[in-house]
Amino acid sequence: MSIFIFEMKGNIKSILIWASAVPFFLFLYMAFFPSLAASPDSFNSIMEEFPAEVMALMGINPDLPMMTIMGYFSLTMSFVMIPVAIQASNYGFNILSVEERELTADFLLTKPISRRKIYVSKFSAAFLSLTITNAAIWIASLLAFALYKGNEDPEMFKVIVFLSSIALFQLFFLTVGMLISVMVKKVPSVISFSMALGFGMFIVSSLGKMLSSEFLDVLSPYNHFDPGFMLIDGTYDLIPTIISIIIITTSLFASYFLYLRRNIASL
Amino acid sequence: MNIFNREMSANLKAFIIWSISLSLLFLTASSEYSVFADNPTVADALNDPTLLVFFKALGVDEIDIMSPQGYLSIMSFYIYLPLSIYGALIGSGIVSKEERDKTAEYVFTLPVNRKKVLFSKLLVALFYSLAITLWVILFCYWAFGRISSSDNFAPFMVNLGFGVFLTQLVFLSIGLFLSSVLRQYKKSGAVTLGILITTFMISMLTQITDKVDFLKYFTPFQYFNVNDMLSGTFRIEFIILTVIIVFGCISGMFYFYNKRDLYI
Repeated sequence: MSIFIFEMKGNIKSILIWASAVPFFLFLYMAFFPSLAASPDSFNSIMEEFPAEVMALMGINPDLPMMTIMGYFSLTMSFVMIPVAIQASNYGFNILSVEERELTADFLLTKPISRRKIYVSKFSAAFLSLTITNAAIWIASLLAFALYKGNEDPEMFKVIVFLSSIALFQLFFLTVGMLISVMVKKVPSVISFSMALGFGMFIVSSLGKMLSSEFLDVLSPYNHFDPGFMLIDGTYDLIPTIISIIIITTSLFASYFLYLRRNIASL
Repeated sequence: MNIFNREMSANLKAFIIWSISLSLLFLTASSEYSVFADNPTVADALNDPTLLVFFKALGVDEIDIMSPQGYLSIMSFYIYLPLSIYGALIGSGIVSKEERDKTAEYVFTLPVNRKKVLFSKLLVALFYSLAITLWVILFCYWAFGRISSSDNFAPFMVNLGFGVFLTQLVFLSIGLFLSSVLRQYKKSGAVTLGILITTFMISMLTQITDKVDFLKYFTPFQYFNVNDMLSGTFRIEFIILTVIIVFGCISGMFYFYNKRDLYI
């Protein structure tokens, strides 16, 4: 328990920053919706005549016009997911490697507790920190809908289904980050790793969408929990979700066993 | 010179990984362009006069999407974003990594003054930023140019190269500055990254709506945005702003790092 508390204390500043910055951006984006929605309907009718390739190239989903609050929300979320992913992979790369980098591994690992316990406390502390950001996003989204929906009647059920997927999305980056950090010999800089994972997956996903390539779609969690899909259908996209869950559980177990056997560099 | 060589080899691996993965990215994108370029449906749609309103709204009314420069301009954030990240990472890492790896004691007790160490590191950072921009621009020129060519493609790539390099330079110098000012070496990467994400999201916002044009001054991604590069306009106020940021940050780094209390 004391490791858990120590980790949470160390995370406080970063939790505060992420959990206020991400919802702030969500709100900032949503705040422009009323002025956009006020512009003409002709925009929507024109979009119906458009070939799908051109739409996909511009990142517009024909079933979810940007002039409705659902469409605009899905556009907003596709950007908001980037910082969420980066926070999760930041924690993922950091928690198991930080002791070695800062030469505190000797101190921690000679304490009379098993590595299993260290792993579990660190993981749950990171997950709780991510959940706080998640909760802040829920509040900000629901508030934004309440404030800006105007005279539309969005289906809140679908929004809630989508918001519930954020936890899985975060877990993906957290566990994959943990796995990579115990697979490599050393994580010299957490930022460069998490940037590569978070932004790299985003680029893979938007490229996959643009090229409508099945292979790239399967690769990236940004597509597994695609706001476009989930806000139209109101369900999880089954196969990608299963792929995600498989990746999460295997990385969780693999990083656990690798961490138990890890040869930890000491002073 | 020794420090310069040492830094060159220390950053070589990252450079190679970055250039290979970016090349793969643009190779995939260009292979899709080859399909797109011959597609008659798309060509018809683009010639439809009723759709001009739509293009105007998206700000692409003067872009010919079928041409290589038009296609590349629509997916230009794949060039701006990764290269800016590269600049930000190398800038915030190259100085602060000595403290992180506990080698600061070693390098700063060598019989060279701090200014010289910083200067060598700065040169290496600039060299690699320039190298990766050149590589990406040349690679894209080849990858897209082989499919279809147009007269304006080469000048556009030159403009784009300058624009991307200057954008990259802004983040590089911010990274260098922060790693010398912030007392905790760990913070510099995180703060630079935060600035990059924030400005990227602001830049996306300025593209969705034109009601917030003043925000363009706050995001380096819009200083040399792709529409300006297409028409070949480098706006003077943004050039001045870039020069101020870059010179301010770099001289700030030399000034503050000289007095820095190193974390050992």
